Amino acid sequence: MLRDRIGKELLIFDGAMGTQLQQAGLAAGAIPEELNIDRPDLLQSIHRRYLDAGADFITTNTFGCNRLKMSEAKYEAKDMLKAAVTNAKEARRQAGREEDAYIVLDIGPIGQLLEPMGTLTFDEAYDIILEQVETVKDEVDAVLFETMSDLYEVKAGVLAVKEHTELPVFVTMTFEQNKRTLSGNDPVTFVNVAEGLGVDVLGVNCSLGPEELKPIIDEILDTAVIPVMLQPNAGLPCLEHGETHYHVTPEEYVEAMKDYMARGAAIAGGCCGTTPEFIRQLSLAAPKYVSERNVVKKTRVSSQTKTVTFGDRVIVCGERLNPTGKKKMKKALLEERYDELIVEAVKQDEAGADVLDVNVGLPGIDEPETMKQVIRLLQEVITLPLQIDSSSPEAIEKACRYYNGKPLINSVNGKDKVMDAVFPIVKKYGGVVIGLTLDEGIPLKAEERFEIAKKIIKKAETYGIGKEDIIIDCLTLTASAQQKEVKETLRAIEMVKELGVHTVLGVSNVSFGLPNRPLLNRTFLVLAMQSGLDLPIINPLDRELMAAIDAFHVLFYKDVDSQRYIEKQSQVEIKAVVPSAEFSLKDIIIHGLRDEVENSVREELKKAEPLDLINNVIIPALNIVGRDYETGKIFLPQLIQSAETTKKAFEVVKESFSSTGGEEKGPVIMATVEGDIHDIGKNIVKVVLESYGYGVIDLGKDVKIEQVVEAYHKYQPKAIGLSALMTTTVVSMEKTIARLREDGCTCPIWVGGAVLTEDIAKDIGADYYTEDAMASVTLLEKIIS
Amino acid sequence: MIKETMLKYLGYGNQEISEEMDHMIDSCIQEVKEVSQPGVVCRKFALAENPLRIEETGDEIIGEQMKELLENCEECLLIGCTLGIALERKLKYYSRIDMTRATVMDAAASAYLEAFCNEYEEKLGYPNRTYRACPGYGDFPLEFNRKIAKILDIHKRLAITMTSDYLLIPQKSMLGLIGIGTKKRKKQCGDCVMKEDCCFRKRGQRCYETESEKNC
Repeated sequence: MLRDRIGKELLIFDGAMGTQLQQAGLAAGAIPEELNIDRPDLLQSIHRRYLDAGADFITTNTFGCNRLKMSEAKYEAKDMLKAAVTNAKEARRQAGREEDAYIVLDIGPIGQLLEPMGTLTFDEAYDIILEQVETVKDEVDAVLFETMSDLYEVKAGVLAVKEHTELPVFVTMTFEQNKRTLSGNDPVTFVNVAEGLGVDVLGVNCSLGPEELKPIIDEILDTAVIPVMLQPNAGLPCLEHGETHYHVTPEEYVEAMKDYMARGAAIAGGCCGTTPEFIRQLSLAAPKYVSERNVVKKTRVSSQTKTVTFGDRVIVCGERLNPTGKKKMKKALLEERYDELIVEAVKQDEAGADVLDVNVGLPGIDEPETMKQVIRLLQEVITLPLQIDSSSPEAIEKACRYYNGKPLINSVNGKDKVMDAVFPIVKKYGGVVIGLTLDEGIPLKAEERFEIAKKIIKKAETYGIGKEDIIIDCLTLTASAQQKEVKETLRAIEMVKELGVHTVLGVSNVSFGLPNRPLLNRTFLVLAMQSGLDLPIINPLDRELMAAIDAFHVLFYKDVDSQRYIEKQSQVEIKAVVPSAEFSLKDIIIHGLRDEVENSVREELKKAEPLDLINNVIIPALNIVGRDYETGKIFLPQLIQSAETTKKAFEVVKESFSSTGGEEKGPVIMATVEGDIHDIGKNIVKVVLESYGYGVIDLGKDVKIEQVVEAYHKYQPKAIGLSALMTTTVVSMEKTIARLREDGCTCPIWVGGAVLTEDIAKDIGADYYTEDAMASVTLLEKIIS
Repeated sequence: MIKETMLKYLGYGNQEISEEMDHMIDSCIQEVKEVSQPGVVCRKFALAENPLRIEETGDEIIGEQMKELLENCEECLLIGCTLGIALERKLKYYSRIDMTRATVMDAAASAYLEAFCNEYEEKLGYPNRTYRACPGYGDFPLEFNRKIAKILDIHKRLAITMTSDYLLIPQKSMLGLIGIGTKKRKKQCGDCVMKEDCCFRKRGQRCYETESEKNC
């Protein structure tokens, strides 16, 4: 069995395929996979040479063999896949290595970037990879994802294989000299996420030579618990006369690789520029068995580009993305206006949170779907790892599936039913789970909570979840109700720490119902940290509370030389250059002084009625801005700045309206049409429209025709605005308009974008064309009365 | 130079800029430089005639402007360049929380990409070369992006991906073709589809760097 050998015997992979094919005359831009059918002899001989050189694995010539990349090939992707495997099998037979050599299905990146940065959805990526796997899964011994630069794509691929086969999965990613992949993943995040997903082997390939890869390989060997494989290039690629060359000799290559093998690398092979001779020498130099590595398992959670490691210091979890007790956020969630949440997330990030708790549980909401949406949007903007907070296993599962990274999961408790529902999800997707020390109720005594913690840890073990992936919550009791038991929590933390797990607490419960809550929160937090609290869930915007953690780090020698403390606490408060008193609200809007506007509006509201303030100050100021823009007195950034300032002013004014007053104008729908990803123009128009009081339903970019039609029926807008930047995507704008009309849409459609003109707008059936944001305002003021 | 170019992209026409705005513009340029991870690939190919094409791959180069540009060129360079995904992420970030900064950063990023490509080109050592022609401009069809992408293997080398409509992600990426052997550096609005409605022209500017700008 292959799995019995991996990690014990040192195994050898083959070297480059592309380099060999180029040497055999493959032209630039030609499709290598076509050769699987056109030149089976060539492919077989390459495989054969690697096998004869001592390779234990040969990888199929299927790097780009997915339906997207092969759309221009002369054969079907499936046929080229099958042919590739047949060639590998034939070569193995010829070499007489059927018993001890393995055929690995090679899968490279799909070639399209996943959402949210790209346009490919996670499910589409999954399907594309699954198609490759399904085609040959019974004919290969393992699957290798290689040269990967996006961990999210790796996740889709690993799930596709593991949900449909029992095959071992190998993953190698490609790192640049800045120690990140081209998508920004770092080695520790890669290890954390890949191990969480349960891959069999992980490692690096391509981009650099064995020497240049050293810092990256070192980090991986230091953190990975599972076997590590290495397939560097034969040095850095050099371009000479339009051709790529590699200058490291087999001897130099093997010399560098020997060191890694001595330090515990389990599989060695080669990537670009390596040849059968490299593999022959590597195989001769390789020890028979894998050297032992002593890696300490640590508790780590990751986003796509950032990993937080527990143990070295207190980790702050921001608690504010939770609708409980927050009217505004409840409303935002119910109306699917997620901008509110993003702003809240950014604030917590800037305030120094390490992880953000995300809770969207509300009656009448589709929690799994909302969780998926919100996580996607948050991960588009925030790089902090997230804590998925839900009591619904369905919502947890969906969130874990679509989360990019290794999440915290909040939570399970001592009830078997809950653990049986959530632990399989934790195991499958890889997560760190919080265990609450309660079952039928919260036990009063520390000893009882300690027993529940033990039960959770033991049960997790039966699911294959180690202690490093569990954080125990000893539960904060409210001092106003259960004063006597507050210190039981602290005792419980001390006891639980003896079990070798980290601990978490929602701190602010302690002060509920008492005056000056921050004081109690802060005092309790300090006591809890001394007892061993690792993960306080708090409001990071409470500066005093955050400062207490900084102080604790100094006093407990976790902030060596007090560096962080000095850096943060010696910061002088930066005051606004001009005090707001000097500017009237009108000037604030005209000059776009966003930081000043809130106070100014509140001051004005003491003197004037909200509606008067809008009509007599805000609108006239905005009109001046609009006129100044049109006459060229101010330019685009100044217009936007004023628009954003006005928008903020409106928000503050609205708070003081009764439920009937202050209706928004519109709504209007805006979208950047299908196929187009350039949405900055649409976003600018949106901000300016909002500043004029329009409710804008923003469908985003690359919006499918059906989505626009659906939104039209759902929101019954007063107008629809479409944008497209390229001549090629104007076509899809035309189609969108046509479909809207077919569906009986009679509301005005206005269009804009770099290549559009009045004439083109008419040609494609739009009602209006606007040149820029101000023109859109003028138009809407005219047509929506 | 980056500042001048970006101001042009933002439609600047000698308006009064407050100290804060000026500071913001500078900090955007600074941030773009810090966050960018510029990457470039470039390869030389021979050109063949009738039809005009890249000899090694047989890919036809369509467009009258291109024919004119590459007249007397026996070789060409294909070039691909990106400022990387981290910048893309940053631009997205600001577009969610601060549209003013998002707009200014976007312009700064475009200007920086342009400057980065220009600088790279200078270093290649081909004094006799044409300007960089990018698919999608003039009558050089956008579809040619796919050919360049494939030939240069930009996905693997630069992590640039292309949508089915030939658009590049990260957005601050560029694919282009440079003729070698003649010195046609002067761009003209000529057959540009936007000639009649161009907002740069209306302001008396050009979207590209003009000779007078170069000399100042």
